[in-house]
Amino acid sequence: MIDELDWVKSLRPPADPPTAQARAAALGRLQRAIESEGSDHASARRRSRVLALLVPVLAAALTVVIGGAALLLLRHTASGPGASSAPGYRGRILDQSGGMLALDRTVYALQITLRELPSSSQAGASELRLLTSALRLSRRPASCPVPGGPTRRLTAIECQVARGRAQGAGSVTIGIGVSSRVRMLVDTHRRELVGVSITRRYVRTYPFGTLAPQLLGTVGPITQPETQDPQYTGVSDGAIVGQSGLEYEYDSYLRAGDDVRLSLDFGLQAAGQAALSRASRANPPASGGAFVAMNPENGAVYAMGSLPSRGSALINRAIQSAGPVGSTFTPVTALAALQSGAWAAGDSYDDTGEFCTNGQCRHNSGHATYGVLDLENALRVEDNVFFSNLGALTNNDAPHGGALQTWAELLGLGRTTEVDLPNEMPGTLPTPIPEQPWTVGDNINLAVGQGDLQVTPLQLAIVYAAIANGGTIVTPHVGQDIQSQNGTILDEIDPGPRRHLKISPVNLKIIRDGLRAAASQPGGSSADVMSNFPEPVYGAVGTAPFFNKGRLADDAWYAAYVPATATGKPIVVVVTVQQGGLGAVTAAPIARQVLSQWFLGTPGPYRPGSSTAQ
Amino acid sequence: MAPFSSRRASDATLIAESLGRPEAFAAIFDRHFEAVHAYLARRVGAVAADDLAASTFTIAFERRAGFRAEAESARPWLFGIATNLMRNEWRAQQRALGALAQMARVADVSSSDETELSLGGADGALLARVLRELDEDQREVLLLHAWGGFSYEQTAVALAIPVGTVRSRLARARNRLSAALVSGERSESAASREGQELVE
Repeated sequence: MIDELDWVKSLRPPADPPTAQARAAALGRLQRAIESEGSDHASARRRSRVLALLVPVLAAALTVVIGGAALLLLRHTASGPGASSAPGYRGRILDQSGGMLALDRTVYALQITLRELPSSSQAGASELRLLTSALRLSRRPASCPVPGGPTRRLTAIECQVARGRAQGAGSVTIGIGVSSRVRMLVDTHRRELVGVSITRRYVRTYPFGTLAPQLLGTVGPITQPETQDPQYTGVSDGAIVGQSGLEYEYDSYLRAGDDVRLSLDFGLQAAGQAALSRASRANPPASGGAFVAMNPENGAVYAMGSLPSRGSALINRAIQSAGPVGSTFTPVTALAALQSGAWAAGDSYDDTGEFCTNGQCRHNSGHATYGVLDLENALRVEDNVFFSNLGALTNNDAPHGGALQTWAELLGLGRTTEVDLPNEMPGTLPTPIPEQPWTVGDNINLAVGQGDLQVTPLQLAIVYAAIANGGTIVTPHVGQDIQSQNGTILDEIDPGPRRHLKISPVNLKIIRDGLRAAASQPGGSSADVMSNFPEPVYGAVGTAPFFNKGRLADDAWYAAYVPATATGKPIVVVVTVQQGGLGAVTAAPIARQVLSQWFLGTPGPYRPGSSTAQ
Repeated sequence: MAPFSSRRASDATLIAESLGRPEAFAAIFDRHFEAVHAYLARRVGAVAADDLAASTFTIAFERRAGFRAEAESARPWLFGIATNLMRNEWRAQQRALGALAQMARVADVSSSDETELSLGGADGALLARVLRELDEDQREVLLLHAWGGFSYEQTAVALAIPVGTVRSRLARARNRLSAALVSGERSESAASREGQELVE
């Protein structure tokens, strides 16, 4: 005989976790409710009604058991310049759909105006005793060094008052972040508590602290060196300013109380961050990485994440960590070879398994030999021997190099993208310079995305965006518009393209066909991960070997796009996993989850790839 | 800067704090959204659950002054709000019943392993039928306990009824289930008829 309850339990239907979008939408609704309560007068009245109901209870608590357990109090004391000044309200940072990523929350500080404190020392002392009890501070006197006077033994509040008086301050702040109950208590007993007042302060809050902290940045009281920064002209001492990330970039708007809305898609950001962490954990010794998702037509950044996302030195690896990108560079090589005439449509090459110059030989991953193939198929299988040959063909020892350097530079490598974020790295584009020896081997290294080449994930995204959009070098931007507090758009952020490259349509087609085949055709370097994706994906894998503490490790890369010719929501995605191993195995599946979230609304499962293409 | 200073605070502390500092309530969302959503998804399907779960939290926020601070966890209170939402929305009700019928059919075709086979679609349909026949109060008690994983005490908090009432309602629900199981109502034909009827 089965137990009826167990039987019902056994029939409990499965429940999938909510999608990132559903979660974000629900949180958005809650945030709007939270926000409207702060500004809405009707709800303020409703709250005061609630307070009115509670006040008698609290008053009783105060008279019967002062400082009893019923009081919920914080014991913060004033410290630091941010706490003793009264900085103004700072605008919010919002995602594309208005979800709050950074906001000022209101806290209340308990302040004593010294000259209003009862002059009779007895009345003053009894008032401070009352406050000490209410705030549940220790009643035991402790050593209190008073500037310009003898060290005395005083309670915490007495000490603050004594120090404030010695310094000639008008008021002292006793507690920051005092609860509503303390506020009510002060209000109820305002006749007894002469000179005590509650003042509003703002504290910066990041509701999704671990999501994109590098991107959002930090705020703090202005420092001495910062007062020299022209960005902070006219900022008073002790004011709260943006010090890194978007908080820094859009500081003047935010300080003026305006909101900055980003092109960032919250759901995509969350999905990308989760996919990156998961892949990083699943592939030791992977040590973090970065991803970028962007509109290839106009440079609007949809997501930008970086791991690690905790710790004191937060580096936004999407713009601040540059390295060799392996075969994801080969479309640049292909473009340079085709546009310069070093290679022509229809040309083929016989890959015999190695390419040797000056006694140095290069092989494909796993010593694969692909035989006779054209450029399109070389892109499909990521044939390093083939592209080594193109590197040799495009080599030019002259200053500034040859076609490869020219096209890499035109595509924006070796210089910053001018994204609206501080401290972007320009990376390095290896180029022959007069004083240093340059060999064909250096150019071959560059052709396969290795050696001294240093590219950030965002730079690579700009390159693939140009292939997707037909040659436009877009200016990436995270900010979308500036809004007033009531939502009026004050300023659109639209930096416009940096330049347009003239690329032969025939050549462009070869590269696009090669990238499409790589992600969809048999033998394609990321076909096992991407071929069954419902939108047409154009992609390339990259594996960049480097020496780390004397051991050879590989950075995994993947770059892909779905073009505007195929979808109304085109996107370019670049992923890198540091020490992640093969790009096809580790990085491509992350990009797949990002694309899946973008087009299907769910990231789907993380499935490692199996291709050994580098 | 830490996003929330009160990370380890109890739900009760956070809700009290949110009276003066409304943003503190976002932490309640973080702690319980998944669980509330999962329960609603089981009851009314994922699509309807998205909306009801979102409503649960905005309503909870608006009514947070009424949260009984002696309860450590806010979860039973939140499930209670979710339950009321399901009850009040007739369409959600219909979906709930439809979802049960759906479940019965899905279980029937997708059963691939032994345990699932023994439960089969007939059981799902039988449960759907019993649940539909149960008085609404008994059904909510039964499912909060069996599917929500709540103790008698938590169920009582969720539905704002005395624990004794939870016990008696659950006992009546069990009697009804027992009768259904014993009397051979688990016939295949009855089950599929029932599933059909519920879908219509």
